[in-house]
Amino acid sequence: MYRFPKGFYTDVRIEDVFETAISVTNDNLDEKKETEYEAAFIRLFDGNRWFYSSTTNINSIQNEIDKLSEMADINDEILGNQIVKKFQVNEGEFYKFQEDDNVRNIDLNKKFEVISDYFDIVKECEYVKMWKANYVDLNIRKSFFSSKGSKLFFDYQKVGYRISWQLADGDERFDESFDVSANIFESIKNKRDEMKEQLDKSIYFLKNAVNVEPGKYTVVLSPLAAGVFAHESFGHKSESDFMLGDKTMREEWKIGKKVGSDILNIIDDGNLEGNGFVPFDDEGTRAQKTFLIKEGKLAGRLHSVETAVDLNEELTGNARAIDFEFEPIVRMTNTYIKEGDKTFDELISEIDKGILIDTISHGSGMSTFTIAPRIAYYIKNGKIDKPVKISVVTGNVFETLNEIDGLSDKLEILSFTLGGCGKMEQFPLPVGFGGPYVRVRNLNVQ
Amino acid sequence: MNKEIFQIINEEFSIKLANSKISSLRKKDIQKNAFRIYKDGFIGIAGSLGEIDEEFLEKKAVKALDNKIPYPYEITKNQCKTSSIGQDLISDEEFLKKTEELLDRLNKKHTDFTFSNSISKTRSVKFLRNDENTELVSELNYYETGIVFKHKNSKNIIDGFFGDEDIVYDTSRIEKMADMMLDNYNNELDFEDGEYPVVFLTMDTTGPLMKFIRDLHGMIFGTGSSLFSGRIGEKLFSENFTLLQSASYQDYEVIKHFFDNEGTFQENFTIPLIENGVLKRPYTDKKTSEMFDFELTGSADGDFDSVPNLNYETFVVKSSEKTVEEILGNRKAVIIFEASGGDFTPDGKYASPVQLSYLYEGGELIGRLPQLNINSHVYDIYGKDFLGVPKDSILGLRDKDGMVVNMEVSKI
Repeated sequence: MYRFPKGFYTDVRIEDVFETAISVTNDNLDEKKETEYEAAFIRLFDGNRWFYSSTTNINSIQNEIDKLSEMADINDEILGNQIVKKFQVNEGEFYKFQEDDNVRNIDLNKKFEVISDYFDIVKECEYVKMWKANYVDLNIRKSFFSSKGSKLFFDYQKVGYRISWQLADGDERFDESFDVSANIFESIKNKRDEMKEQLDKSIYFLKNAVNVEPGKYTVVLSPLAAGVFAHESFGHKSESDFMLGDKTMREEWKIGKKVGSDILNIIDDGNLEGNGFVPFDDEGTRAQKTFLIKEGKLAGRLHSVETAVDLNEELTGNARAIDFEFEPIVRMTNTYIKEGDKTFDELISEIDKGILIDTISHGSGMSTFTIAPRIAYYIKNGKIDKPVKISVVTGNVFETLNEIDGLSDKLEILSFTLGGCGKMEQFPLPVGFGGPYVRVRNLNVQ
Repeated sequence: MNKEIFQIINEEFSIKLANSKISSLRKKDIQKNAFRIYKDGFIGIAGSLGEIDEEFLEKKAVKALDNKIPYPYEITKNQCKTSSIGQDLISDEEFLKKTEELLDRLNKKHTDFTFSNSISKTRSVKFLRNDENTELVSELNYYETGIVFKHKNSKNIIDGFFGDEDIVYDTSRIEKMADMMLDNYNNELDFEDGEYPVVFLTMDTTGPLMKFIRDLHGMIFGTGSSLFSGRIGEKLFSENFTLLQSASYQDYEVIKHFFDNEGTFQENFTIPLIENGVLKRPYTDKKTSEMFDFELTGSADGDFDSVPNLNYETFVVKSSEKTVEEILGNRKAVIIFEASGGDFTPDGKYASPVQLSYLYEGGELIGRLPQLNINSHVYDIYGKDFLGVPKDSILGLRDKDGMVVNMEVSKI
C-alpha cells in the first residue's frame, strides 16, 4: 500500500496490459505478437493544480508520489475541497473476464484461425487487388488506489478483427472493410456469410456507383452512420470539460432545453457490452446510464469529478484515459440513439428523393459535423436506387438534431475494431456507438 | 542470425490549460525497448517498457521466431550516424514561468476569449543498433504548443486553434499568431461564392494532401489499387508541384527522427515522391520496395515492438521561386485554419467543409469568413489550379507556411 502524503488528494492507477496483434496482407503474415506490460499513472491534487506522473516502473510509484508532492503546495483543508469530497470511494474486485473468456488464456494460433477463415473469400475475388486482415485484442487489469480509501480492481476487454480490401476494375477504385468487435472471443467467430455479403455489396458499388449530384437531401443513416453522427454531432458537446467556467455554455446548454426533435433520445452507458464497456472509470467512479437527450430535450451530460463539481451535477463515470501515459478526461463510453417505431421499409418508402448512407470511412463534429460515406445509395420514389459516390455529408449540429423525423425500430451497438475516438492528444480511445436507421432532412451532400 | 536493438525514449513535461488557467502539470519518462532476431528469413521481436534487460528480451525474441513471420530482407548494414535537432531544453521552472507569462498576456489582450489545451516540451531519442555494424541515434528536443480558443459568447465547444512546433520556445511568435487570429475574429465578413486562391497552411495531411497518403502507399500502389498505379514517370500534375517526403529540419523545419523503424534514411533526409509534376515513386518500406521493385524511401513505421510496417512520413510541398505577392497579385485569398472531415471519392473528387477561415488581402488578414465548402479534384488541385508554395511567408511567422490552390468556394 502506498504512503499518501498529507495535505493532498492522491490516486494511483496501475494497468496490467495484455494485447494481441495479428496482421496479414495479401496472404503474407506481417505481424503476430502478444505484448504484456505493467505501468502506472499517478495524480496528486493540492486544491489548486493537478500534478501527474506516468511511469513504466511500478516499483517507483511511491517515489513518484513523493516527487509530485514536492511540486505542489500543502493544503491542510484538502479534505474539505469540493472536488475531493465528490470522489467516490469504491472497494473490491470486479473482474469480469475470467478463465476461457479472458483473451490472455486463448492460444495465439486460435486467434489466427479466426481471421484465416476469410482468406479464401478475398483471394478468390477477381476485383480484390489488395486485402488485409487484422486481429486485435486487449485485456487490461486495472488497480486503483486513492488517498480517500478507494481500493478497486477491475478489468476491461475488447476483441475483434477487420478484413479490408481494395477493389479495382478498369479506372474504378473502391476500398471497403468488414469489422467485427465484441468483448468475448467466442462471439466473434464464424461470420463468413456476412463478410461475403459485404464484399459483394462493395463490388456492386465499384461497378455501378455514379457521382452524386451535390445538394440538400433527406438522408437515412445506417446504425453505423447514426452512431457516428450521435457521437460526433452531440456526444462531444455533452463532455462537460468544454463547459468549465463557461457562462455562455451553461446558459445555452441548460438541462431541459429543447435541442432536437421529439422522437430523439441519445444515451451514453458504460454498463453496456461493447468497446465502451467501462464498469468503473479511471477516477474509480461507477458507470452510469446517462440520457444526454430525452424526447428532444437536453437531459444530462458527461462528467469527471471536477466537471460534476463545477456544474453542481452528479457523477456519470466518464473520466477515461487512453492508457497509462495520460490523465483521465471526460470521454464517451457507449453512445447511441434510441430506437423508434418505424420499420426500415417505412422509413425509406416515405422519401421521394434522398440518400441512404450504409457504411462510412470517418466522421467529425464541431458546429458543423461531417460524415464521409463509403457505400451509399440514392433513394427514389420510396425505393433504394443506384449506388452513389459522395465525398462528404455535412450539417449544422444545432439545426440537424431538429431535422430528425424518423427512426427505425431496431437498435445496433457497434464499434470500430481498429482506431477509436480522438480528443486533443488522446487517440484512440475504444468507444461503442450505434442507433437504429435514422432519417434526417436537409443534409448537405457533396 | 542477426540481432538488433530498437529503442524509443520520451521525456516530456506538459502544461495543461483549462478555462484560461494552468490546471495541471504532467511529467513522463518512458522508455520502450525491442529486441529483434533475424534468422532464416524470419523475424522474432520481444518488447518491454522501462530499463532494458537484453538477455531476457533476446530469449523472448528467439521464442517469437516460432511465429514464422517472414522477413527475408537485408537489415541495415554499416551505418553509424548520430543526429540531433534542437539544443538542451529549458528547465521545467523556466518553461512554466514563460507559459504563465504568455497566458497572462493572452488573457489581458484577448478578453473576449478563453484558452485551453496544452503546451509541452519533449526530448525524444530513437536508437537502433545491430550486429551488422549499424548504430543510429536520433535526438529531438522541441516544444509543442496547441492552444484551443473559444469566444466567450460562442455556443460552440471550441472556435479555433493556434499552435507551433519548434526547437525554441518562441512565445512571441505564438502571441503574434494569436493576435492575428483573434484581433480579426470579431470582424465577421460576408462571402460571395466563387473561385478563390485558397491557402492551406503547413504540412497538414488532413486536407487535400490526404489523397497521397492512400494512393502513394507502396502496397496499394504496387497491387494496382491506387489511382496512380502504373504511372511512374508520367507527368500527372503541374510543373510547379513537387511533393517531398522529408525529415529535414534544416531545409523544411520538419521535426522528425531521421531514420525509419528499419534504419533506412535518405541523404539530406529528403526524397521526392512527385517532382515537377512527374510521379517519381510511391513511399515504401523494405517489403514493398523489394516486392514491387520500387525505390526504398524509408517509410517503415509501427509500434516499438512491431514488425516494421509501411506508413507515410512527413509530406512537404516544395516552395516555388515566386513570392506571395507574385502568386496572389491583388486577388483576395481564403486562408484555411480549420477544414476537417472532408475527403476524396475513390476517383479523386474532393470536398470539405471549412470550419474556420479568414480573408487575406494586401498582405494581411482582413476578417473572419463564414463556414464554407471547398470543392475540387485531385488532378485540378495539383494540376491546373495549383498556384504553388510562395518562397516567402504568407502570415509572416515562419519562413514558408502555405500552399495556394484555386478552388470553388461557397458558403455552407
